[in-house]
Amino acid sequence: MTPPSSWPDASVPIILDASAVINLNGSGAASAILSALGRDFIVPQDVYDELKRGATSGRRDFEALDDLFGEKIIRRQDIGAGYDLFETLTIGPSALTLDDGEAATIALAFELNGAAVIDESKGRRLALQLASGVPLLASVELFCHPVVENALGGKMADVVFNALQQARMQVLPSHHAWIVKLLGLERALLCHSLPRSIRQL
Amino acid sequence: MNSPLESMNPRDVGERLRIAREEAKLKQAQAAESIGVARTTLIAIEQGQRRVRMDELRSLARVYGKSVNALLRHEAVHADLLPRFRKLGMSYPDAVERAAALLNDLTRAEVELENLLGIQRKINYPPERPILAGDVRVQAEQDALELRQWLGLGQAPIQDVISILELQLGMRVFVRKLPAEISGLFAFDEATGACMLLNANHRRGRRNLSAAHEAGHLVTRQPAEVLDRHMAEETREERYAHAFSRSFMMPARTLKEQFKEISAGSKRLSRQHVILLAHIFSVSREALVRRLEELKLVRPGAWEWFESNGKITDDQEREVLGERLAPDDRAADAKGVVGARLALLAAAAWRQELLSEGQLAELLKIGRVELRRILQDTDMEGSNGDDAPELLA
Repeated sequence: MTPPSSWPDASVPIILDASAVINLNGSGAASAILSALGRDFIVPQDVYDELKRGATSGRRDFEALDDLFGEKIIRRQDIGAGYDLFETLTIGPSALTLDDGEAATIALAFELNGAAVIDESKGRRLALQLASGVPLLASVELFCHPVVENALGGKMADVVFNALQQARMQVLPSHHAWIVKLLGLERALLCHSLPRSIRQL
Repeated sequence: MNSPLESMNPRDVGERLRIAREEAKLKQAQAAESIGVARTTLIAIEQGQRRVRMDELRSLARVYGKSVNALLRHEAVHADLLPRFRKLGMSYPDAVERAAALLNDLTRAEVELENLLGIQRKINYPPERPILAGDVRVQAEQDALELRQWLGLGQAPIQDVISILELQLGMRVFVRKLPAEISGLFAFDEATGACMLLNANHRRGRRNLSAAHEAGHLVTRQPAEVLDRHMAEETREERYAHAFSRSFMMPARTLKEQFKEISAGSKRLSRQHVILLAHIFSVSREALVRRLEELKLVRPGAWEWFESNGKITDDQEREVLGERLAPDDRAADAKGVVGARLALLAAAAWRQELLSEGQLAELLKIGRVELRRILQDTDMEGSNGDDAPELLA
Protein backbone atom coordinates (compact mmCIF):
# COMPACT_ATOMS: atom_id res chain seq x y z
CA MET A 1 0.00 0.00 0.00
CA THR A 2 1.40 3.39 -0.98
CA PRO A 3 0.40 6.13 1.46
CA PRO A 4 -0.53 9.56 0.18
CA SER A 5 2.49 11.80 -0.29
CA SER A 6 2.78 15.54 -0.57
CA TRP A 7 6.44 15.72 -1.53
CA PRO A 8 7.13 18.86 -3.60
CA ASP A 9 9.61 19.18 -6.51
CA ALA A 10 13.19 18.14 -5.85
CA SER A 11 14.36 21.76 -6.02
CA VAL A 12 12.21 22.83 -3.05
CA PRO A 13 14.15 23.11 0.24
CA ILE A 14 12.71 21.16 3.17
CA ILE A 15 12.55 22.95 6.53
CA LEU A 16 12.53 20.70 9.60
CA ASP A 17 10.77 21.54 12.84
CA ALA A 18 12.15 20.27 16.18
CA SER A 19 9.54 17.53 16.16
CA ALA A 20 10.90 16.10 12.89
CA VAL A 21 14.49 16.29 14.14
CA ILE A 22 13.56 14.44 17.35
CA ASN A 23 11.68 11.77 15.39
CA LEU A 24 14.61 11.26 13.02
CA ASN A 25 17.03 11.00 15.93
CA GLY A 26 14.69 8.58 17.70
CA SER A 27 14.68 6.34 14.64
CA GLY A 28 18.44 5.88 14.91
CA ALA A 29 18.76 6.30 11.15
CA ALA A 30 18.56 10.07 10.59
CA SER A 31 21.70 10.19 8.48
CA ALA A 32 20.67 7.26 6.25
CA ILE A 33 17.15 8.60 5.73
CA LEU A 34 18.12 12.15 4.91
CA SER A 35 21.02 11.04 2.69
CA ALA A 36 18.67 8.77 0.75
CA LEU A 37 16.17 11.59 0.29
CA GLY A 38 19.01 13.86 -0.85
CA ARG A 39 17.12 17.14 -0.48
CA ASP A 40 18.20 20.55 0.74
CA PHE A 41 17.29 20.07 4.41
CA ILE A 42 17.37 23.15 6.61
CA VAL A 43 16.90 23.54 10.36
CA PRO A 44 15.97 27.06 11.51
CA GLN A 45 18.27 28.62 14.08
CA ASP A 46 15.33 28.84 16.52
CA VAL A 47 14.79 25.07 16.29
CA TYR A 48 18.46 24.49 17.04
CA ASP A 49 18.23 26.89 20.02
CA GLU A 50 15.15 25.08 21.32
CA LEU A 51 16.87 21.70 21.11
CA LYS A 52 19.86 23.13 22.93
CA ARG A 53 17.64 24.48 25.70
CA GLY A 54 15.94 21.06 25.86
CA ALA A 55 19.33 19.47 26.54
CA THR A 56 18.82 20.35 30.21
CA SER A 57 16.15 17.65 30.36
CA GLY A 58 18.72 15.04 29.35
CA ARG A 59 18.14 14.77 25.59
CA ARG A 60 21.05 15.51 23.31
CA ASP A 61 19.18 16.09 20.04
CA PHE A 62 21.23 19.16 19.26
CA GLU A 63 24.42 17.10 19.35
CA ALA A 64 22.99 14.64 16.83
CA LEU A 65 22.05 17.67 14.76
CA ASP A 66 25.61 18.97 14.99
CA ASP A 67 26.78 15.65 13.53
CA LEU A 68 24.34 16.00 10.64
CA PHE A 69 25.61 19.55 10.04
CA GLY A 70 29.14 18.13 10.02
CA GLU A 71 28.12 15.54 7.44
CA LYS A 72 26.55 18.37 5.40
CA ILE A 73 23.26 16.47 5.32
CA ILE A 74 21.42 19.37 6.96
CA ARG A 75 22.25 23.04 7.16
CA ARG A 76 21.20 25.69 9.64
CA GLN A 77 19.72 29.05 8.67
CA ASP A 78 18.19 32.00 10.48
CA ILE A 79 15.07 33.68 9.21
CA GLY A 80 15.52 36.88 7.19
CA ALA A 81 12.70 38.12 5.01
CA GLY A 82 10.30 35.85 6.90
CA TYR A 83 10.60 38.07 9.97
CA ASP A 84 7.13 39.58 9.69
CA LEU A 85 5.50 36.16 9.50
CA PHE A 86 7.62 34.97 12.44
CA GLU A 87 6.42 37.97 14.45
CA THR A 88 2.79 37.28 13.55
CA LEU A 89 3.19 33.63 14.54
CA THR A 90 4.89 34.30 17.90
CA ILE A 91 3.32 37.47 19.31
CA GLY A 92 -0.40 37.51 20.03
CA PRO A 93 -3.04 35.36 21.71
CA SER A 94 -1.90 31.87 22.72
CA ALA A 95 -4.40 30.10 20.48
CA LEU A 96 -3.12 32.02 17.43
CA THR A 97 0.61 31.71 18.08
CA LEU A 98 3.31 29.05 18.15
CA ASP A 99 6.58 28.62 19.92
CA ASP A 100 9.61 30.09 18.18
CA GLY A 101 10.88 26.88 16.56
CA GLU A 102 7.51 26.01 15.05
CA ALA A 103 6.99 29.60 13.90
CA ALA A 104 10.49 29.85 12.41
CA THR A 105 9.94 26.61 10.49
CA ILE A 106 6.88 28.07 8.76
CA ALA A 107 8.45 31.52 8.31
CA LEU A 108 11.64 30.12 6.79
CA ALA A 109 9.68 27.82 4.46
CA PHE A 110 7.67 30.87 3.38
CA GLU A 111 10.82 32.93 2.86
CA LEU A 112 12.66 30.25 0.85
CA ASN A 113 9.63 28.93 -1.06
CA GLY A 114 10.29 25.70 0.77
CA ALA A 115 8.17 23.01 2.41
CA ALA A 116 7.75 22.74 6.17
CA VAL A 117 7.86 19.43 8.05
CA ILE A 118 5.42 19.90 10.92
CA ASP A 119 3.42 17.26 12.79
CA GLU A 120 1.64 19.51 15.25
CA SER A 121 -2.00 20.00 14.21
CA LYS A 122 -2.15 23.55 15.56
CA GLY A 123 1.03 24.40 13.63
CA ARG A 124 -0.39 22.92 10.42
CA ARG A 125 -3.63 24.84 10.88
CA LEU A 126 -1.89 28.17 11.45
CA ALA A 127 0.46 27.52 8.52
CA LEU A 128 -2.55 26.97 6.27
CA GLN A 129 -4.17 30.17 7.55
CA LEU A 130 -1.16 32.48 7.48
CA ALA A 131 1.17 30.94 4.89
CA SER A 132 -1.21 29.06 2.63
CA GLY A 133 1.36 28.68 -0.16
CA VAL A 134 3.77 26.68 2.00
CA PRO A 135 3.56 22.94 1.30
CA LEU A 136 3.35 20.87 4.49
CA LEU A 137 4.94 17.52 5.14
CA ALA A 138 4.74 15.31 8.23
CA SER A 139 7.61 13.42 9.86
CA VAL A 140 6.17 10.09 8.80
CA GLU A 141 6.55 11.17 5.15
CA LEU A 142 10.30 11.31 5.65
CA PHE A 143 10.16 7.58 6.35
CA CYS A 144 7.60 6.29 3.87
CA HIS A 145 9.37 7.37 0.71
CA PRO A 146 10.43 4.70 -1.84
CA VAL A 147 14.08 5.86 -1.82
CA VAL A 148 14.17 5.50 1.97
CA GLU A 149 12.66 2.03 1.77
CA ASN A 150 15.35 1.10 -0.74
CA ALA A 151 18.12 2.54 1.39
CA LEU A 152 16.99 0.91 4.63
CA GLY A 153 15.92 -2.40 3.12
CA GLY A 154 14.92 -4.87 5.81
CA LYS A 155 15.59 -2.39 8.61
CA MET A 156 12.69 -0.14 7.65
CA ALA A 157 10.20 -1.56 10.15
CA ASP A 158 12.70 -1.37 13.03
CA VAL A 159 13.61 2.22 12.19
CA VAL A 160 9.97 3.35 12.14
CA PHE A 161 9.27 1.37 15.31
CA ASN A 162 12.16 3.16 17.01
CA ALA A 163 10.80 6.57 16.00
CA LEU A 164 7.40 5.61 17.40
CA GLN A 165 8.77 4.13 20.60
CA GLN A 166 11.77 6.32 21.37
CA ALA A 167 10.46 9.65 20.11
CA ARG A 168 6.72 8.96 20.33
CA MET A 169 6.35 10.18 16.74
CA GLN A 170 2.88 11.42 15.86
CA VAL A 171 1.44 9.89 12.71
CA LEU A 172 -1.20 11.43 10.46
CA PRO A 173 -4.40 9.31 10.20
CA SER A 174 -3.75 9.01 6.45
CA HIS A 175 -0.62 6.97 7.27
CA HIS A 176 -1.99 4.64 9.97
CA ALA A 177 -2.69 1.81 7.52
CA TRP A 178 0.86 2.04 6.13
CA ILE A 179 2.30 1.85 9.64
CA VAL A 180 0.21 -1.18 10.61
CA LYS A 181 1.13 -2.98 7.38
CA LEU A 182 4.82 -2.21 7.96
CA LEU A 183 5.00 -3.14 11.65
CA GLY A 184 2.22 -5.65 11.97
CA LEU A 185 -0.68 -5.07 14.38
CA GLU A 186 1.03 -6.60 17.39
CA ARG A 187 4.01 -4.24 17.22
CA ALA A 188 1.87 -1.25 16.23
CA LEU A 189 -0.21 -1.72 19.37
CA LEU A 190 2.93 -1.28 21.47
CA CYS A 191 3.26 2.29 20.16
CA HIS A 192 1.39 4.72 22.39
CA SER A 193 1.51 7.50 19.83
CA LEU A 194 -0.83 5.50 17.62
CA PRO A 195 -4.55 5.53 18.44
CA ARG A 196 -6.28 2.37 19.59
CA SER A 197 -8.48 2.57 16.51
CA ILE A 198 -5.63 1.01 14.47
CA ARG A 199 -6.96 -2.34 15.68
CA GLN A 200 -9.74 -1.93 13.18
CA LEU A 201 -7.44 -1.33 10.18
CA MET B 1 -1.42 48.76 10.48
CA ASN B 2 0.65 48.09 13.56
CA SER B 3 2.70 44.89 13.79
CA PRO B 4 1.85 42.46 16.63
CA LEU B 5 4.81 43.80 18.63
CA GLU B 6 3.81 47.43 18.05
CA SER B 7 0.26 46.59 19.14
CA MET B 8 1.44 45.58 22.61
CA ASN B 9 1.68 48.06 25.44
CA PRO B 10 5.42 48.93 25.71
CA ARG B 11 5.24 49.08 29.52
CA ASP B 12 3.84 45.55 29.58
CA VAL B 13 6.55 44.36 27.18
CA GLY B 14 9.23 46.10 29.27
CA GLU B 15 7.96 44.54 32.49
CA ARG B 16 7.98 41.06 30.96
CA LEU B 17 11.54 41.61 29.74
CA ARG B 18 12.64 42.84 33.17
CA ILE B 19 11.25 39.76 34.90
CA ALA B 20 12.91 37.46 32.32
CA ARG B 21 16.25 39.25 32.78
CA GLU B 22 16.09 38.94 36.55
CA GLU B 23 15.22 35.25 36.28
CA ALA B 24 18.27 34.82 34.08
CA LYS B 25 20.27 36.57 36.84
CA LEU B 26 21.63 39.19 34.46
CA LYS B 27 22.29 42.81 35.30
CA GLN B 28 20.97 45.51 32.99
CA ALA B 29 24.49 46.30 31.80
CA GLN B 30 25.17 42.66 30.92
CA ALA B 31 21.92 42.30 28.99
CA ALA B 32 22.48 45.61 27.20
CA GLU B 33 26.00 44.63 26.21
CA SER B 34 24.87 41.25 24.91
CA ILE B 35 22.56 42.86 22.36
CA GLY B 36 24.80 45.82 21.59
CA VAL B 37 22.82 48.69 23.12
CA ALA B 38 23.60 51.18 25.86
CA ARG B 39 22.45 50.37 29.41
CA THR B 40 20.23 53.45 29.31
CA THR B 41 18.51 52.05 26.22
CA LEU B 42 17.77 48.78 27.99
CA ILE B 43 16.43 50.68 31.00
CA ALA B 44 14.18 52.71 28.69
CA ILE B 45 12.92 49.49 27.08
CA GLU B 46 12.19 47.89 30.45
CA GLN B 47 10.38 51.00 31.64
CA GLY B 48 8.31 51.15 28.45
CA GLN B 49 9.77 54.49 27.36
CA ARG B 50 11.26 53.00 24.20
CA ARG B 51 9.77 50.22 22.12
CA VAL B 52 11.95 47.16 21.71
CA ARG B 53 12.60 46.24 18.08
CA MET B 54 11.92 42.70 16.87
CA ASP B 55 15.63 41.96 16.28
CA GLU B 56 16.46 43.22 19.79
CA LEU B 57 13.64 41.16 21.23
CA ARG B 58 14.90 37.96 19.62
CA SER B 59 18.43 38.65 20.86
CA LEU B 60 17.22 39.32 24.38
CA ALA B 61 15.07 36.18 24.36
CA ARG B 62 18.12 34.12 23.39
CA VAL B 63 20.27 35.71 26.09
CA TYR B 64 17.53 35.09 28.68
CA GLY B 65 17.05 31.47 27.54
CA LYS B 66 13.40 32.02 26.63
CA SER B 67 11.40 31.99 23.43
CA VAL B 68 9.83 35.17 22.05
CA ASN B 69 6.47 33.45 22.26
CA ALA B 70 6.93 32.54 25.95
CA LEU B 71 7.72 36.20 26.62
CA LEU B 72 5.01 37.84 24.58
CA ARG B 73 2.06 35.57 23.97
CA HIS B 74 -0.75 37.53 25.49
CA GLU B 75 -1.91 35.03 28.10
CA ALA B 76 1.58 34.18 29.37
CA VAL B 77 1.70 34.73 33.12
CA HIS B 78 4.76 36.49 34.45
CA ALA B 79 4.75 35.57 38.11
CA ASP B 80 7.55 37.43 39.81
CA LEU B 81 8.05 35.39 42.96
CA LEU B 82 11.82 34.95 42.85
CA PRO B 83 13.00 38.35 44.15
CA ARG B 84 11.06 38.01 47.39
CA PHE B 85 12.81 34.71 48.14
CA ARG B 86 16.19 36.22 47.34
CA LYS B 87 15.54 38.87 49.99
CA LEU B 88 15.10 36.25 52.70
CA GLY B 89 18.09 35.36 54.80
CA MET B 90 18.59 31.76 53.79
CA SER B 91 20.63 28.86 55.11
CA TYR B 92 20.66 27.09 51.72
CA PRO B 93 20.66 29.80 49.03
CA ASP B 94 21.28 27.52 46.02
CA ALA B 95 18.69 24.94 46.98
CA VAL B 96 16.16 27.65 47.81
CA GLU B 97 16.87 29.45 44.54
CA ARG B 98 16.09 26.28 42.60
CA ALA B 99 13.00 25.51 44.66
CA ALA B 100 11.74 29.10 44.33
CA ALA B 101 12.24 28.93 40.56
CA LEU B 102 10.28 25.67 40.51
CA LEU B 103 7.42 27.20 42.51
CA ASN B 104 7.45 30.19 40.15
CA ASP B 105 7.35 27.96 37.05
CA LEU B 106 4.63 25.65 38.37
CA THR B 107 2.46 28.56 39.47
CA ARG B 108 2.92 30.34 36.18
CA ALA B 109 2.05 27.23 34.15
CA GLU B 110 -1.00 26.37 36.21
CA VAL B 111 -2.40 29.90 36.13
CA GLU B 112 -1.91 30.23 32.36
CA LEU B 113 -3.48 26.84 31.65
CA GLU B 114 -6.44 27.55 33.93
CA ASN B 115 -6.95 30.94 32.30
CA LEU B 116 -6.79 29.47 28.79
CA LEU B 117 -9.23 26.71 29.65
CA GLY B 118 -11.61 29.13 31.37
CA ILE B 119 -11.19 27.47 34.77
CA GLN B 120 -11.98 29.82 37.66
CA ARG B 121 -10.30 28.80 40.89
CA LYS B 122 -12.58 29.32 43.86
CA ILE B 123 -10.62 31.51 46.26
CA ASN B 124 -11.76 31.57 49.86
CA TYR B 125 -8.86 32.85 51.92
CA PRO B 126 -9.42 33.13 55.68
CA PRO B 127 -9.63 36.54 57.36
CA GLU B 128 -6.21 38.14 57.81
CA ARG B 129 -4.81 37.96 61.33
CA PRO B 130 -1.71 40.13 61.71
CA ILE B 131 0.71 39.04 64.39
CA LEU B 132 0.01 41.10 67.50
CA ALA B 133 2.06 42.01 70.53
CA GLY B 134 2.30 39.41 73.25
CA ASP B 135 2.91 35.65 73.17
CA VAL B 136 2.73 34.56 69.52
CA ARG B 137 2.17 30.93 70.55
CA VAL B 138 -1.03 31.84 72.32
CA GLN B 139 -2.20 33.84 69.32
CA ALA B 140 -1.27 30.99 66.96
CA GLU B 141 -3.29 28.50 68.99
CA GLN B 142 -6.32 30.81 68.89
CA ASP B 143 -5.93 31.56 65.17
CA ALA B 144 -5.52 27.86 64.31
CA LEU B 145 -8.70 26.97 66.17
CA GLU B 146 -10.48 29.91 64.55
CA LEU B 147 -9.43 28.66 61.09
CA ARG B 148 -10.66 25.19 61.95
CA GLN B 149 -14.06 26.60 62.92
CA TRP B 150 -14.11 28.80 59.79
CA LEU B 151 -13.47 25.73 57.64
CA GLY B 152 -16.11 23.73 59.49
CA LEU B 153 -13.54 21.20 60.70
CA GLY B 154 -14.40 21.44 64.39
CA GLN B 155 -11.85 19.65 66.54
CA ALA B 156 -11.54 16.45 64.49
CA PRO B 157 -8.17 15.13 63.27
CA ILE B 158 -7.36 16.07 59.66
CA GLN B 159 -6.41 13.22 57.38
CA ASP B 160 -5.68 15.21 54.22
CA VAL B 161 -4.73 18.79 55.08
CA ILE B 162 -3.39 19.49 51.57
CA SER B 163 -6.75 18.81 49.92
CA ILE B 164 -8.42 21.12 52.44
CA LEU B 165 -6.00 23.93 51.63
CA GLU B 166 -6.51 23.36 47.90
CA LEU B 167 -10.24 22.83 47.74
CA GLN B 168 -11.61 24.88 50.63
CA LEU B 169 -9.16 27.79 50.63
CA GLY B 170 -8.19 27.76 46.95
CA MET B 171 -4.43 27.74 47.65
CA ARG B 172 -2.14 26.36 44.98
CA VAL B 173 -0.24 23.46 46.51
CA PHE B 174 2.50 21.67 44.60
CA VAL B 175 4.27 18.60 45.95
CA ARG B 176 7.56 17.94 44.16
CA LYS B 177 10.90 16.44 45.03
CA LEU B 178 13.13 19.01 46.74
CA PRO B 179 16.50 18.85 48.48
CA ALA B 180 16.19 17.24 51.92
CA GLU B 181 16.95 20.45 53.80
CA ILE B 182 13.87 22.24 52.40
CA SER B 183 10.42 21.40 53.75
CA GLY B 184 8.38 23.98 51.92
CA LEU B 185 8.06 27.39 50.32
CA PHE B 186 5.15 29.79 50.53
CA ALA B 187 4.36 32.91 48.53
CA PHE B 188 1.41 35.25 48.50
CA ASP B 189 1.10 37.30 45.36
CA GLU B 190 -1.76 39.52 44.18
CA ALA B 191 -1.62 38.13 40.64
CA THR B 192 -1.36 34.43 41.36
CA GLY B 193 -2.76 34.15 44.87
CA ALA B 194 -1.36 32.01 47.64
CA CYS B 195 0.85 29.13 46.56
CA MET B 196 3.12 26.65 48.27
CA LEU B 197 5.62 24.00 47.28
CA LEU B 198 6.14 21.02 49.58
CA ASN B 199 8.85 18.38 49.58
CA ALA B 200 7.67 15.04 48.18
CA ASN B 201 10.78 13.39 49.62
CA HIS B 202 9.58 14.10 53.13
CA ARG B 203 7.24 11.67 54.79
CA ARG B 204 3.54 12.43 54.75
CA GLY B 205 3.25 13.39 58.40
CA ARG B 206 6.10 15.89 58.19
CA ARG B 207 4.74 17.24 54.89
CA ASN B 208 1.30 17.77 56.44
CA LEU B 209 2.86 19.85 59.21
CA SER B 210 4.80 21.86 56.61
CA ALA B 211 1.52 22.51 54.78
CA ALA B 212 -0.15 23.68 58.00
CA HIS B 213 2.92 25.82 58.75
CA GLU B 214 2.56 27.57 55.39
CA ALA B 215 -1.18 27.98 55.99
CA GLY B 216 -0.20 29.91 59.10
CA HIS B 217 1.73 32.30 56.89
CA LEU B 218 -1.39 32.74 54.74
CA VAL B 219 -3.36 33.71 57.84
CA THR B 220 -0.85 36.48 58.58
CA ARG B 221 -0.46 37.29 54.83
CA GLN B 222 3.30 36.97 54.85
CA PRO B 223 4.60 37.66 51.30
CA ALA B 224 7.07 34.76 51.19
CA GLU B 225 8.71 32.17 53.40
CA VAL B 226 11.06 29.21 53.19
CA LEU B 227 10.77 26.43 55.72
CA ASP B 228 14.12 24.74 55.94
CA ARG B 229 15.87 22.36 58.30
CA HIS B 230 17.68 25.12 60.14
CA MET B 231 14.72 27.42 60.35
CA ALA B 232 14.89 27.89 64.07
CA GLU B 233 12.19 29.81 65.81
CA GLU B 234 14.26 32.96 65.71
CA THR B 235 11.58 35.30 64.42
CA ARG B 236 8.11 35.95 65.75
CA GLU B 237 6.68 34.95 62.35
CA GLU B 238 8.38 31.57 62.51
CA ARG B 239 7.44 30.95 66.13
CA TYR B 240 3.87 31.78 65.14
CA ALA B 241 3.84 29.46 62.10
CA HIS B 242 5.38 26.53 64.01
CA ALA B 243 2.85 26.90 66.82
CA PHE B 244 0.05 27.37 64.28
CA SER B 245 0.89 24.10 62.50
CA ARG B 246 1.00 22.13 65.76
CA SER B 247 -2.30 23.56 66.97
CA PHE B 248 -4.00 23.21 63.60
CA MET B 249 -3.02 19.58 63.12
CA MET B 250 -3.21 18.56 66.79
CA PRO B 251 -5.83 20.63 68.66
CA ALA B 252 -5.12 20.41 72.38
CA ARG B 253 -8.51 19.15 73.49
CA THR B 254 -8.75 16.44 70.83
CA LEU B 255 -5.20 15.27 71.38
CA LYS B 256 -5.75 15.08 75.12
CA GLU B 257 -8.91 13.02 74.62
CA GLN B 258 -7.28 10.69 72.10
CA PHE B 259 -4.22 10.33 74.32
CA LYS B 260 -6.40 9.40 77.26
CA GLU B 261 -8.24 6.80 75.21
CA ILE B 262 -5.16 5.25 73.62
CA SER B 263 -3.00 5.22 76.74
CA ALA B 264 -5.71 3.98 79.09
CA GLY B 265 -4.32 1.43 81.49
CA SER B 266 -0.68 2.34 80.73
CA LYS B 267 1.82 4.02 82.97
CA ARG B 268 4.33 4.81 80.26
CA LEU B 269 4.32 6.20 76.76
CA SER B 270 5.01 3.33 74.40
CA ARG B 271 6.11 3.21 70.78
CA GLN B 272 2.69 1.83 69.92
CA HIS B 273 0.99 4.88 71.50
CA VAL B 274 3.17 7.24 69.49
CA ILE B 275 2.63 5.39 66.22
CA LEU B 276 -1.14 5.21 66.64
CA LEU B 277 -1.53 8.85 67.69
CA ALA B 278 0.75 10.11 64.93
CA HIS B 279 -1.34 8.10 62.47
CA ILE B 280 -4.63 9.46 63.82
CA PHE B 281 -3.44 13.07 63.49
CA SER B 282 -1.47 12.48 60.24
CA VAL B 283 1.69 14.05 61.64
CA SER B 284 5.27 12.94 62.18
CA ARG B 285 6.08 10.87 65.23
CA GLU B 286 8.50 13.51 66.49
CA ALA B 287 5.95 16.33 66.18
CA LEU B 288 3.39 14.22 68.01
CA VAL B 289 5.68 13.51 70.96
CA ARG B 290 6.82 17.13 71.16
CA ARG B 291 3.19 18.25 71.21
CA LEU B 292 2.51 15.81 74.05
CA GLU B 293 5.45 17.39 75.86
CA GLU B 294 4.12 20.89 75.14
CA LEU B 295 0.70 19.95 76.51
CA LYS B 296 2.40 18.43 79.58
CA LEU B 297 0.95 15.01 78.85
CA VAL B 298 4.46 13.53 79.07
CA ARG B 299 7.66 14.84 80.65
CA PRO B 300 10.04 16.96 78.58
CA GLY B 301 12.72 14.85 76.89
CA ALA B 302 10.37 12.05 75.87
CA TRP B 303 11.35 12.26 72.20
CA GLU B 304 15.04 12.30 73.06
CA TRP B 305 14.49 9.16 75.16
CA PHE B 306 13.09 7.30 72.15
CA GLU B 307 15.89 8.63 69.97
CA SER B 308 18.57 7.36 72.33
CA ASN B 309 16.81 4.05 73.04
CA GLY B 310 16.54 2.42 69.66
CA LYS B 311 14.31 5.05 68.02
CA ILE B 312 10.86 4.34 66.62
CA THR B 313 11.33 2.59 63.30
CA ASP B 314 9.36 2.31 60.09
CA ASP B 315 9.21 -1.45 60.55
CA GLN B 316 7.54 -0.93 63.91
CA GLU B 317 5.10 1.47 62.28
CA ARG B 318 4.22 -1.12 59.62
CA GLU B 319 3.79 -3.73 62.32
CA VAL B 320 1.43 -1.55 64.36
CA LEU B 321 -0.59 -0.04 61.53
CA GLY B 322 -0.69 -2.93 59.06
CA GLU B 323 -3.27 -2.27 56.37
CA ARG B 324 -4.12 1.11 57.87
CA LEU B 325 -0.90 2.42 56.36
CA ALA B 326 -2.23 3.87 53.12
CA PRO B 327 -0.04 4.65 50.08
CA ASP B 328 1.35 8.17 49.85
CA ASP B 329 -0.51 9.48 46.78
CA ARG B 330 1.19 12.88 46.75
CA ALA B 331 4.66 11.35 46.78
CA ALA B 332 3.61 8.95 44.03
CA ASP B 333 2.28 11.86 41.95
CA ALA B 334 5.61 13.67 42.34
CA LYS B 335 7.38 10.82 40.55
CA GLY B 336 5.92 12.04 37.25
CA VAL B 337 7.69 14.71 35.20
CA VAL B 338 4.79 16.99 36.07
CA GLY B 339 1.95 16.41 38.54
CA ALA B 340 -1.26 14.71 37.43
CA ARG B 341 -3.38 17.86 37.47
CA LEU B 342 -0.93 19.92 35.45
CA ALA B 343 -0.66 17.03 32.99
CA LEU B 344 -4.44 16.93 32.56
CA LEU B 345 -4.61 20.71 32.05
CA ALA B 346 -1.78 20.55 29.50
CA ALA B 347 -3.45 17.71 27.61
CA ALA B 348 -6.76 19.60 27.53
CA ALA B 349 -5.06 22.75 26.22
CA TRP B 350 -3.25 20.69 23.55
CA ARG B 351 -6.38 18.82 22.44
CA GLN B 352 -8.23 22.13 22.06
CA GLU B 353 -5.27 23.51 20.09
CA LEU B 354 -4.87 26.37 22.56
CA LEU B 355 -1.17 25.58 22.94
CA SER B 356 1.13 23.66 20.61
CA GLU B 357 3.61 20.97 21.57
CA GLY B 358 6.44 23.51 21.44
CA GLN B 359 4.55 26.03 23.59
CA LEU B 360 3.69 23.39 26.19
CA ALA B 361 7.22 22.02 26.34
CA GLU B 362 8.51 25.54 27.02
CA LEU B 363 5.76 26.31 29.54
CA LEU B 364 6.27 23.10 31.51
CA LYS B 365 10.04 23.21 31.04
CA ILE B 366 10.21 19.62 29.85
CA GLY B 367 11.49 17.94 26.69
CA ARG B 368 9.29 17.19 23.71
CA VAL B 369 9.40 13.42 24.17
CA GLU B 370 8.51 13.70 27.86
CA LEU B 371 5.63 15.95 26.87
CA ARG B 372 4.46 13.46 24.23
CA ARG B 373 4.42 10.72 26.87
CA ILE B 374 2.23 12.91 29.06
CA LEU B 375 -0.14 13.93 26.25
CA GLN B 376 -0.45 10.44 24.80
CA ASP B 377 -0.75 8.65 28.13
CA THR B 378 -3.33 11.16 29.36
CA ASP B 379 -5.40 10.47 26.25
CA MET B 380 -6.21 6.91 27.34
CA GLU B 381 -9.52 6.88 25.52
CA GLY B 382 -7.73 7.35 22.18
CA SER B 383 -10.05 7.66 19.23
CA ASN B 384 -12.86 6.17 21.33
CA GLY B 385 -12.88 9.40 23.36
CA ASP B 386 -15.79 10.80 21.38
CA ASP B 387 -18.03 8.03 22.72
CA ALA B 388 -16.95 8.42 26.34
CA PRO B 389 -19.56 9.58 28.89
CA GLU B 390 -20.26 13.29 28.61
CA LEU B 391 -19.59 15.63 31.52
CA LEU B 392 -22.74 17.44 32.67
CA ALA B 393 -21.09 20.21 34.70
